[in-house]
Amino acid sequence: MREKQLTRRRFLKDLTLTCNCSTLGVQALAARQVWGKPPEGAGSKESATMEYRTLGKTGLKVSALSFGVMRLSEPAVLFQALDMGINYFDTAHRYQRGNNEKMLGSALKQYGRSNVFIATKIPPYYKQFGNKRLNNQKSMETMMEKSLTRLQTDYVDVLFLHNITDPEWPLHDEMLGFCQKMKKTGKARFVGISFHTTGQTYVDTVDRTLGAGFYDVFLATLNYKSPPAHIQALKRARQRGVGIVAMKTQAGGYKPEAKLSLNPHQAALKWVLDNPFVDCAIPGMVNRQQLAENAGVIGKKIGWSDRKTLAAYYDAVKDRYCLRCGSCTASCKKQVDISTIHRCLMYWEGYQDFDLGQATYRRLPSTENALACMGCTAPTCNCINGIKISERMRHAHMHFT
Amino acid sequence: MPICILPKTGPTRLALRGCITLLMILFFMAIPCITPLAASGDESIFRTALPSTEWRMEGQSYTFLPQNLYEYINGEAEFFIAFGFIELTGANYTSVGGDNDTVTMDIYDMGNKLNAFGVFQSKRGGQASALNVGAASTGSDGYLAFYKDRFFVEIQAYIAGEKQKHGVETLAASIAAQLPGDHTPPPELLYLPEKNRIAGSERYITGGILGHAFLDRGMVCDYRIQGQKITAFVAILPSPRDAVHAVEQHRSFLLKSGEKCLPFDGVGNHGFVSEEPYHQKIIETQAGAFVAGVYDLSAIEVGKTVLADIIRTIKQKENIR
Repeated sequence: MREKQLTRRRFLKDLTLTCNCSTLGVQALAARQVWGKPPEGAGSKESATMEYRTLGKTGLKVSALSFGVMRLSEPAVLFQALDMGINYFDTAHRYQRGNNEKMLGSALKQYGRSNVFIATKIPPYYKQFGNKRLNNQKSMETMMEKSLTRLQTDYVDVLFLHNITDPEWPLHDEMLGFCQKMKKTGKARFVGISFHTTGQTYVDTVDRTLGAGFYDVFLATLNYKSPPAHIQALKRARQRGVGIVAMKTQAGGYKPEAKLSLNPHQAALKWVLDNPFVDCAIPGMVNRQQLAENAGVIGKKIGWSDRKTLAAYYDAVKDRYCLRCGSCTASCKKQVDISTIHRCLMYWEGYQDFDLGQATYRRLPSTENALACMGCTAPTCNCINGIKISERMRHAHMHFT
Repeated sequence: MPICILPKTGPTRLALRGCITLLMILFFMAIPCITPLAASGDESIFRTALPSTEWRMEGQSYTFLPQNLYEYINGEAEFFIAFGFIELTGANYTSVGGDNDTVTMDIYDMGNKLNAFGVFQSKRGGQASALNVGAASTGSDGYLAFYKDRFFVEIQAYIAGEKQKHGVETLAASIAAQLPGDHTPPPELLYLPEKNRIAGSERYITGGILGHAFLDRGMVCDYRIQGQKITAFVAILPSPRDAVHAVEQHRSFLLKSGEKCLPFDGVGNHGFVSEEPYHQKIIETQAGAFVAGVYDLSAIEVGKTVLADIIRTIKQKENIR
């Protein structure tokens, strides 16, 4: 079944519903109630009221704004996050080939392990001849031991099977055996899966894994571009008590338009956090400015004017955001690679990285770039989400060449 | 037709024709230069790099671009993209001996040497042994990584026998030899003095040195001086004006954090001494389009020499008076 279009009406409706519900599911505690006195050396100059939510059936009281550590290399940002009341930190076995876990472990040891929640991820597969092959239980146990050593801890609070791309994997005996053993031995308090899949695979992953009734937490892509089917799937999971951690929350959010007062990154994060089924979000942050920007969302109540602003933001970007549904591909008779060119534009306009957008564009064969659009007087291209494709293609070609 | 604008006869026409011909020659000569080096996109490199007849390439090479890198290394794709990732090309090898030994080789085109260095250093393990491949390399537990010029290369080996393990290094060396570019480190690393530097601590930061967005990118490395571990950095800004502005922003941040900022004269411009939250004492100054500093200092004196060395090198290399 084709997914519904992302419409302004749906956007506003979701926002209104989530605003009404969010206050019921949220526990707002002062940071100090959770931490007690901050340890010496960690600094205490920041003060902020963080919002805490219960991570599904785990019962963990996690900060609504949590921390995706993946790209971070500077522990000072972690300390500042701790001082702001952030208490859930997400890393993975393979991030920076283990150096990310080392940095996080070292910083959190200074702060006090018992005051924070650590989530890491172990890859359930490896690649051989280009194919994904499932790891056996023993090899995953070995990886887990390495991760714990790097993190300088005896346990993690949540252990994820990293990047599930096949809905059947979480049900495999080796996976279940590994997770059970980690819980039994106390090396993982709770277990879950992480997935970035698209389309029906996303829904199938949720539903198949829910059927097993074994996993405690899902770490899933969720942003205001997410299709309704994905949102509904996560809602079903949360109703069954599974904790929901949202990632890729800002979807390469655009910089503020001059006419808009609300920062789009904040708006996008707020959209995610205002979903009552979301327990926390883990935007990736690499500096204090990003941390402050994201923390600025916490505690803000959405009023009518905010909803108007968000709607204005949505209106401002909806004709630019490509949802990558692929339905436009066949509509261009000149075989322009529309999807890739949209991606180039997102690198430039969304990630503010013109060079990357241009480099990606320039690698397109001349038969597939937007040169053909420049003189096209009868465009056949069509976007079901309302993007004016021919205009956007010409815009890309003019700026990237 | 454009040619109609030329005069029909006379020396002007001849001169213009000559110019057009010359331009066309120059254009065709430039084509090899403007075409992407494409070594990473050229499958032949994988076939010709076979170290011995004991290995064969399995199937075709594969390619991933920024828009679909997540299909290959989801969870880590953003990390590479943040460092300017352009393209990944890879191939699988298997041993002819039938031992089920396999090797996967991935070549990441990172666009420039600095980015390739940044990725390599982020993944470099403290305990991993250094190998003599590319500009710098590291390896342990069936994993080998190196960078050369703008390319970062990762090799994952599943090998049972000791004999074939040596073959992986030979394979890596063979690939490194065929990749275009040179083996020198990024020139930006040379701003940081080698004396007392802790080997392997060099890193290229994007997103914020010390977690400050205004010190967005630059080189950082650790030193051990008089038994004390300190850290030095050189932030690279677009212009001298931006560098001055970055120092001002830093000073402003520290003052707002409740720290004192005292002037630090004699080395560079706009210098100050202060306390960086979570990083003890810091000295920082500006020269040209660079901001240099030393932090994690228990006493300022320890960092002064290092900072003076950095500024002297920057001034020499950038010809700043």
